[in-house]
Amino acid sequence: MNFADHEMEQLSASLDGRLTPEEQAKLEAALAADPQLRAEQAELQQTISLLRDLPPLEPPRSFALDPAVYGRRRRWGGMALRWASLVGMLVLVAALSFNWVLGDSASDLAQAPQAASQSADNASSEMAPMAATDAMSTASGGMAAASGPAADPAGAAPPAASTFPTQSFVLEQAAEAPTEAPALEPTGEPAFEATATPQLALATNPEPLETALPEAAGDAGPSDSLRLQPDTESYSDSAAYIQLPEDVYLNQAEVITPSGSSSPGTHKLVPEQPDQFNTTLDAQAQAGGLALGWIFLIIVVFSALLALGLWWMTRGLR
Amino acid sequence: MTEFERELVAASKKGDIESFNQLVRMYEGRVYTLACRMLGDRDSAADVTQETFISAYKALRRFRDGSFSAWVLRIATNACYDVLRSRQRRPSTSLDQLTQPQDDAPPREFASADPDLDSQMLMRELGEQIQAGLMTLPPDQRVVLIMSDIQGYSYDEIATATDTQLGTVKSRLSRARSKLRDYLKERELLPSQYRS
Repeated sequence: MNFADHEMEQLSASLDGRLTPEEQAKLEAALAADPQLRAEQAELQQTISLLRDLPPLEPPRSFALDPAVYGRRRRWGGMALRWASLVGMLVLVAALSFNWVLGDSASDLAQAPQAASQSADNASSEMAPMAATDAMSTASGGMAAASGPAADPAGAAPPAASTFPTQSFVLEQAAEAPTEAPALEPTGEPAFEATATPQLALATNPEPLETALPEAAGDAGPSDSLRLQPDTESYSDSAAYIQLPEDVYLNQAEVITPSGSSSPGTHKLVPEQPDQFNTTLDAQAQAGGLALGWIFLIIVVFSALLALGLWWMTRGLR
Repeated sequence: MTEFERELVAASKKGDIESFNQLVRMYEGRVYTLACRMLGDRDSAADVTQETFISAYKALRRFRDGSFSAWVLRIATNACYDVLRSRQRRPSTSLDQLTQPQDDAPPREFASADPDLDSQMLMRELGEQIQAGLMTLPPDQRVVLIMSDIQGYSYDEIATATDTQLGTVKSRLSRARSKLRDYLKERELLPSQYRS
């Protein structure tokens, strides 16, 4: 006969004396009335007796810990190593943060003088024929960074070079009137085209230019002169500055200047900063990063040596 | 926990390995017995016992107040569960090593010459059968039965060691006893049967 789990639990608990007086009285009444229940209780008692009579199992050896391995000195050594590791990690984090912060600021600082001198060089070597007209435009204000040094090929770097990180670009449209074109290119087009920058296909036609640069079209209108590099005084009145989208910058479409071609209204994109400028900046940034990298490496090696030394010292204390 | 045990625990927390080793000597028999009965394997039980005391020493700072014995048995129980789980993944370890005679036990063929040895042989065979019956129980019922009926721990200590409620201990113990009773009864190993 199988009894319910509750009855078996009561039987089991009664053998351990875990029933309340009321539960015990109730169980004893059931036992007195049911011989099968009494047999169950007897078998459970025999099972418990068998288990309690089992001989104890002797451990095959001592499990005491080795004082040489787990002793107090070992703990001191472990603590020293933990502290050394913590200090090393903090140094690493500080070095990484230092590298990151200083890397950014150093790159910014390096850009300013370099931008000025590089702009001057480019202007003197490649845009010299435009120097006279640029100087006039610079005086009218609102000029880009590259136009300032262009007026002074001797290399006096103005602080205007700090405008380089703004990545501003100006759309410059050729004058519709053919009579104004000669003022734009007093020395002829070949010298202007020799900037060695790729003539991008973005603005060879006014229609695609308006599509790509709706802000430019809306602000100045397709017939206005939109320019960053004021080449002539006649264009400075209608000059407008337009911030081009990032993707245009990424595609190296930067400044639209009059191409000097015979067809009025033709646009051409030329970069505001020559490629050599970015190349030199990259090289200098790499040099700065390399120096910081060496500093970082030295800190790492020093931390490792410190941790090793502490480990060796605590090991010797054992 | 006695005052002496409390002092040993306090000293052990400060890194006194000798005080901790006194605790080890006090409890290693119980831990080893629990592991042996749980795993049915002396070698694994020895490994678990050593691992238990190393873990206890490393985690001693987390032990607050209460029964040090129950705390150590809890570590041992978890270590036994880990071994049993690994056996389920890789069932290659023999489970009946515990039933094999130890090196210092007399060979069976010479046991019949001495009545005492006969009695010892009977007791050993009974012990082997009981161990085999224990191994048929689910681990959560087995550990409760071992702690209660072999090692004599109270319900409260078992609940602490197994991290369960008193009601759970009560029900698991009842089921474990019933199952082992059935196992022994089938083999006519209950006292009223094998004595007749």
